Amino acid sequence: MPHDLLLLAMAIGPVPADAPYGPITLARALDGDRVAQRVLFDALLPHVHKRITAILVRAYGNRVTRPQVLDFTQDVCVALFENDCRALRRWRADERASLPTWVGRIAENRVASALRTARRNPWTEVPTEPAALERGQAAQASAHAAVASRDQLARVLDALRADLSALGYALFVALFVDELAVAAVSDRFEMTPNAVYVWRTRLRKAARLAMVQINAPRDGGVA
Amino acid sequence: MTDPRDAQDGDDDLLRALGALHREQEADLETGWPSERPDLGPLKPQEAAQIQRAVHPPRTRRLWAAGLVAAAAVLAFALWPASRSPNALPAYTVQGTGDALTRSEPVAATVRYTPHSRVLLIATPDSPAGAVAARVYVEQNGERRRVHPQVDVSPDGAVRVDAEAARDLGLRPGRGTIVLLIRPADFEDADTALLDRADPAPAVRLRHAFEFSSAP
Repeated sequence: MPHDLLLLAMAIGPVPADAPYGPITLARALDGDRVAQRVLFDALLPHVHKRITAILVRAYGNRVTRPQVLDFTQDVCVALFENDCRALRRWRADERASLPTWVGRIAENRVASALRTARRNPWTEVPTEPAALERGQAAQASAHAAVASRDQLARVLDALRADLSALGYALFVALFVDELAVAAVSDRFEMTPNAVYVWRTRLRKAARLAMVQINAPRDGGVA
Repeated sequence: MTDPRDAQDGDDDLLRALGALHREQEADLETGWPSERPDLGPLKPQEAAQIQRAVHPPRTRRLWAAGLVAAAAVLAFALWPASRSPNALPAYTVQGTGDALTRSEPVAATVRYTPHSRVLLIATPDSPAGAVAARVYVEQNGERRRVHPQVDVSPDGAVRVDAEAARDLGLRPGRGTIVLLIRPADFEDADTALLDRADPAPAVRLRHAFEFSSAP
């Protein structure tokens, strides 16, 4: 049986020549062309799914189930294409990240933020450790110097992803992942350089707090 | 001139390390899969298809909501599900709207359409049907052809067809029938067999009679 996409293309129009990520495909998709949107969706879906699998596995290990991964994957895909593809429109061809990478970052941030809330977190029954967090905040020992392992750093990074707003995360990526200069970030996010510096200060504090919380001793033993 | 705020303090080391790890994680994902658990592997085609069905452009989503509201207000019209086998999909109730119905004209067994008429059909299962696929055919002038309007399927198996009569369905002047074939997503039989036999089970075959006029 012919593939649905082929039938769709026969009925409405050809698949863009620069599929799946070229400017023609993207422009057509953002213009509401169903064929282009389907091409783009098919190409981006594996990246979104893989990225979500990664962050859930990192955060929750063996407790992750496939339906939970699929649920988040669907949520993110809907978010990408809803509201006239508003989320996809934010990507620019001159981004340092490719479209799949950029979409993966959106997925990561969205899942991290969702897990932060009790409503969406499927593992809310896991007890938190407020006492440990309080002790950690009191510690305030130069946390940045205590980056002991990749695993520890990964936990800090996941905590930072969860704590930051979408804008904060995007600025963190621009400043410290893509390593753009303040002027470039200011231009891209249409904010003053001063606002970028303010955000950088906030990011420092957020990272430091995440590090302290990760380093805080945990209550786990049985007396 | 260098902004003094560009001078890095110790916390920038942490942020830079986090940024480097972020890049490293992305690079790892380019070449590998994040879990060795077999049940957390890449998407299966059926899963991808299900997610695809849930993803609608915003305009479509608004129309979907509007269509449901409209469908609740308009009149049900002639559709008759085929008889079903014990393993068949549940029975479907179909509502629709078109130019004639939205003007609150009396229910007609045959709905009249003109080229720019909106043809909206919403088929709702009597009980959750699970994953289904829906295909649309037009029977007219002794021939049957598959058409490809916007078709959306909900997780419970409700189906919505939203089309413009001439552009999306290719209706021609005269009488005809729109056939909506709803089938279990994993059912392999060809559509032709389901359309031709008296009992299309486990699929459901719904028919909507129309009369098309090229004059507005």
